[in-house]
Amino acid sequence: MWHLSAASRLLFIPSTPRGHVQGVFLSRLAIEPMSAILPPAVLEWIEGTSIDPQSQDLISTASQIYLAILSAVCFIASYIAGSVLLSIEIFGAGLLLLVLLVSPPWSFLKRHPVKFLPARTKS
Amino acid sequence: MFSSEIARLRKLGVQGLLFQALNFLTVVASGLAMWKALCLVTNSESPIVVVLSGSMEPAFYRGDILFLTNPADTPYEIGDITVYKLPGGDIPIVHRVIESHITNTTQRLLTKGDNNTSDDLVLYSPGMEWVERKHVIGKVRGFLPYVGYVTIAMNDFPQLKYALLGSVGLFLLIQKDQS
Amino acid sequence: MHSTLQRLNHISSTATTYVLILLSLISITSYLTLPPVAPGKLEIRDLIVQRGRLRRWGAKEEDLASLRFDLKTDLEPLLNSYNTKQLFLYLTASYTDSLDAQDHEVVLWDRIITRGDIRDLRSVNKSKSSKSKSTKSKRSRAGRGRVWVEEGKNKYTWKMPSGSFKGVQNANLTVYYSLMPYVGLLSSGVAATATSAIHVPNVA
Repeated sequence: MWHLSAASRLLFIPSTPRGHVQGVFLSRLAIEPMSAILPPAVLEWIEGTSIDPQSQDLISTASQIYLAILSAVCFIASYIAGSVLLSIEIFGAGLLLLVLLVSPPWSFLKRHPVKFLPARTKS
Repeated sequence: MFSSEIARLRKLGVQGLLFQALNFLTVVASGLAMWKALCLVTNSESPIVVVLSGSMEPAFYRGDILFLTNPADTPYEIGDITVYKLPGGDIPIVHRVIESHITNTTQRLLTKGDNNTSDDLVLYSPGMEWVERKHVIGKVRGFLPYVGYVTIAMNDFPQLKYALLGSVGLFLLIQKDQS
Repeated sequence: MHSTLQRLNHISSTATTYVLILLSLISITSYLTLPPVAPGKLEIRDLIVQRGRLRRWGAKEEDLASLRFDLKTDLEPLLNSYNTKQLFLYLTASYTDSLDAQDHEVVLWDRIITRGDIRDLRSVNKSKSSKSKSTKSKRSRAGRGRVWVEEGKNKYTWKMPSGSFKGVQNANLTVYYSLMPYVGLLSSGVAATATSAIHVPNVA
């Protein structure tokens, strides 16, 4: 088995001048998410825009239904008015409304935060 | 930047790596298969094209998408909007047929852009007087406005292409750890 | 967790699907509900064939035909139908040459009828959307689909690849329309027909 492990080592851990430091760094990264390489400010911003899972579920079903109804309304309105452009305009306006309503982390989307168990302390 | 890549590879292992590659190839292959199937059904070498010039305005503008078919054994009719490729040139041209002469071996066509004042004789290769069946890629059957403008914009402004690629890459990176 | 970026991503992909559904719905409905067209009247006043030379370098002397025609047809319902962007009207002559047994078809005249004034940002020649149009368009827009041409002349020279009309006896003249939609399938049909085939005279 020796040759196999040697091969895998050759493949995945290239020897570098700073071999030791590199190794430590690698092992740290391997258990941490990829996002570790992003600047913390960006990460914080992304985390800050999160909402709770329950609201997320609500949003995905609601937006699906909303868009289906919106396209039906667009089609009927444009057919009656005899103008294709009208349907695109209504759809655009409706979509803008949806985006404004749903994409920012409004407070009403954070009403059911995940409650973590309290950290256990060794007694 | 590189160290993280290596870490990821290490985590995957050989098998995981092959699996990932296979996944990627499946996506590419199914896309290609769909395109080729569309080519087969429409009998055209390029069934979807993007308009690049204004010579057919106001019917087609730059950036509109056209869907073509090339029915075998049926001659093109006059008034059809055809897409043809000249022997020397590499950019297909979308113009309307204004003359058709059917001999017992071939069909000769003369084309003209709706927005041009004269016919296409000046566009043809030297010594060429007609567009023939073999030059024609297909005739326009369907139309979707604006959508193709993305490709034109990316050709005109390469920075846009890099910005798009970069943001997609960044997005993938963010997506990864949150799933 | 679910960030704004992910929500935007989700919404945009769902919205794209629904836009495509909406557009295909529009295109199918408009194609199925196209109003029928009653072919109008096309009358040929005269047709003259004479020897001449085109104004092209190295042009040979050949038979050139010129004609005058009256055209009256009503395409107003078609022009104002749901998904019509423009109509392309074209007068064609189709005939057979008995000498070499070739079928010929040529466009002699055409006209583009747009629905309203199309103002497209991507337009290459901006000069065409001139100021004089805006004052006139309000009045002429209503009747744009009613085509009435008196003593129209052929826009394109009518000639033969062989240079002679000797083998041609009669030609059928028809006006067709080609409909450009805002989105979807193109369609075409007959806009006006002549009462009978016209005799093509020979040059003495």
